[in-house]
Amino acid sequence: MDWRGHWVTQTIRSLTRLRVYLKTSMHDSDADLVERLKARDTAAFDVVYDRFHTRLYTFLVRLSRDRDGAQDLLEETWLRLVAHADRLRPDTRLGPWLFTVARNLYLSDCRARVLEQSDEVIFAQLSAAPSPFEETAANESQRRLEAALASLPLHYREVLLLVAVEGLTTSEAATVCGISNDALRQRLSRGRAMLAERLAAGALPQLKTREVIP
Amino acid sequence: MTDLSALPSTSPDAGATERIRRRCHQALIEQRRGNDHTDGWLFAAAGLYLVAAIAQAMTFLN
Repeated sequence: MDWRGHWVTQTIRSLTRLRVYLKTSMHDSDADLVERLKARDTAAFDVVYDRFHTRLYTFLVRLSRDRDGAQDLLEETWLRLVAHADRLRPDTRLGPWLFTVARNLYLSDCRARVLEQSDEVIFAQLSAAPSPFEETAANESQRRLEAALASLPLHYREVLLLVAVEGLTTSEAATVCGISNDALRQRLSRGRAMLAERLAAGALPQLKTREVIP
Repeated sequence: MTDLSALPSTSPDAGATERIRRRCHQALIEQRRGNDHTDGWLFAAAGLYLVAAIAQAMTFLN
């Protein structure tokens, strides 16, 4: 085959790949997935699940510091998506929507436990819980980072998890936490400073006071 | 500034994933069936209304 034939073949291959890429990305945009979820399309649910389940679960494990509890909250989050599918607005961003539901479910769960159990039990559960990631950390510095992150108060930990770990924009994270963009930026800055202090101190601090549940 | 983006992620166990998918698929299918039934009733009601309107029009013209 001469160079012209080779060039034509390469161009056709590139155009085919481009067409497949464009088709896939258009097909799986948030707007399209919302539309398909409204039509109760199980394949659309699978696409959304595959896209977000690891991120949501990781977020919930770091937020709650409890793998089993995080799994229950994850399941409830997905069931909420299915139950509310027909009420989703066409411009809904699925990532922030799912993180909002997961966070609110965690807070509701905390509040329910506060009402059901004695202060001593809650204090023991919330104050001394290490991150499950500490056990599986690849090295000492990662273990210290996980421990320092887990020791932060909830309202700093959640914004750091959403923005610095999960990659949400500050505006999306503010929506998830139900606060203004300015308040989010302030929390983020203080959270980073507190994390740096705890890492610099080299200690693995345990919380001294009960977490404040917003 | 500490880079947190490189922290590892974790997945729920396979059993949990299977259970979540199954429950959500089942819920979606049941909702779809419910919608189909509602659509069926609406269609039947619209048909009845149309027949009644035609019957009335025929009576009036006769």
